[in-house]
Amino acid sequence: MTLRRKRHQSIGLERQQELAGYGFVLPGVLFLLAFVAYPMISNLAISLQDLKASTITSGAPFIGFDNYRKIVRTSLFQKAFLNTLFFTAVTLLGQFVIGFLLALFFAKPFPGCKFFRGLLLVCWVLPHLVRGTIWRWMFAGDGVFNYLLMKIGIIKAPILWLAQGNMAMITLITTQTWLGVPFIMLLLVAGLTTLPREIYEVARIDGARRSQQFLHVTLPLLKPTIISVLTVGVIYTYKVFELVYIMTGGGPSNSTELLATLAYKETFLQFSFGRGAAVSNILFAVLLLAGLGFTAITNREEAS
Amino acid sequence: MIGHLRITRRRKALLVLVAVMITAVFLFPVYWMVITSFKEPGEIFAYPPTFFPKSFSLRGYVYQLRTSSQLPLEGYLLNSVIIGALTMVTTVICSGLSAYGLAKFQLRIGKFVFLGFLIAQMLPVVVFLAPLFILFRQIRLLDTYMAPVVFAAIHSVPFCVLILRPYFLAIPGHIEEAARLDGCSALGVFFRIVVPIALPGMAVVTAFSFIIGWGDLMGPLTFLRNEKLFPLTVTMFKAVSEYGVDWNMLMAFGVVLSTPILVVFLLLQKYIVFGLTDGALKG
Repeated sequence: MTLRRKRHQSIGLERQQELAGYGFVLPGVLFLLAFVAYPMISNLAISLQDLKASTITSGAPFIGFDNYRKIVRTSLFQKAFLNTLFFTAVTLLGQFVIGFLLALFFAKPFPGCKFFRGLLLVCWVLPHLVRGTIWRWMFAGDGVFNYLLMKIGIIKAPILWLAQGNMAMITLITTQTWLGVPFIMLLLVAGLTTLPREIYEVARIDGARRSQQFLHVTLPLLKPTIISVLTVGVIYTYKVFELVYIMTGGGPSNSTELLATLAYKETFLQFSFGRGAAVSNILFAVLLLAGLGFTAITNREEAS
Repeated sequence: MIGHLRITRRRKALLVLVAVMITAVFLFPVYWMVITSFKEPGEIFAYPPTFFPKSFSLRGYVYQLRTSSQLPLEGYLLNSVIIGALTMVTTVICSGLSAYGLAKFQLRIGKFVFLGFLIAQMLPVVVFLAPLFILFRQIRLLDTYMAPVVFAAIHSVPFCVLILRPYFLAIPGHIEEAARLDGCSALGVFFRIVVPIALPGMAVVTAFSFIIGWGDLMGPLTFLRNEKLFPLTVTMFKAVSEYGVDWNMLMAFGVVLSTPILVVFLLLQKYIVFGLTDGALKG
């Protein structure tokens, strides 16, 4: 009798606990539903309509996937798509290589190593607007970069970085690399400092050289961290918008146009909301598919 | 023995020197912003550029006041503070409760909610702007502080959930159990026991959400038409397009926008670094 009552009580408690748990996540869930899920669905609906400034009051006709079909065929979309991939790949490569080298350095114990590591992050917390404007100034024709490059002798005359297509892309990639390196470095340092020291001792006793240690001990052990770092890096780089909007606005003559800036322009400058929504949905869908594919691959590897 | 010590000491000094150089390279843009903001107009374009201003001038800061037609600069500053503070309150409540619910309760929907936050973090800004504009117009949120606040919270809430979860996971369950047996309600346990223990995490989240709201441009630029509600970021952005190359004034704007962030960052540096790395790697 007492046993059963006790069990009853504990089931009641469990129920209570579960209810309390739902209570805790409720505000977050409501927020997600109202301001994340609803806009996503709404964006999907907009992308299937011929919604323009002229049809916004009269009611926009449903046109299926016409917006997608039409925008994908434009050379501007194709350019923006390739630019986005190029920007993401080169930036990520730069961030990862520089971030890794810095991480190997800052993982060493020396006085103030934690302080310096943290200090680098300062650039990362500044608003997009401030960072973008600083770099526009430094890359200006009469800016400090041209001076330094001429001083070292790499260039003879000032380059108009933001006025020439290829140079504008290089400027954006440099800026975004600078932004992301400290964060990537910090994540890698966190991974490096948790590696067990004994393994290195064993490797040293076995006569492994530094480079061998790095290739055969550090890299394999660090694999989970590297995967997280690359995932975070891809997401933050791929969806970049503000920095480009502030520094080049996609110009000169669309040479730095990314899917994100194209979507913004279609919506807020051309007022063709349907096409803008289609572009931003493609932007997100590519990232989501890449993410799902990536998780599937890592899960399979873990399983085997 | 002594020789060995001397070598390591020299080695340490060398490491510190290299660290200083790397930090200098990375922080140079911030330094360049600060000294440009204090230079005389003539010195800005001087060739060769001066790496330390010859004469300090407050012209950039004074000119900022003139760019504003509707409000004095304090008005924009106040708007930025209000948007930052409201973002902070929304984020801390939402992400604090959610992260705790996800960390400490076995919920059937827990996996989906967590996935929802992860996806929210992946979403590009441009996905939200148009649908939120339409939604805000329907619920009469356009041209209120809450419009940019909600927009900023879309970024800060998921981010802060990821940061807070490890802090809550690290709290041993028997502490909460004991409080519950003493008759403390679930909310009581959260506010009296959990929050004080996870205070460093809460501090990071508070700081971050304020910074995100304070520095956001796209939200206020898209959802505010009434100039009396404009935060400093919008004023600076308009100045960029209107005054183009008045770098002196623009950098002064940048300094005003960055100062609170730098102060908060330096105060909480230790916790921010820990919170970020832990949340991102285990999230």
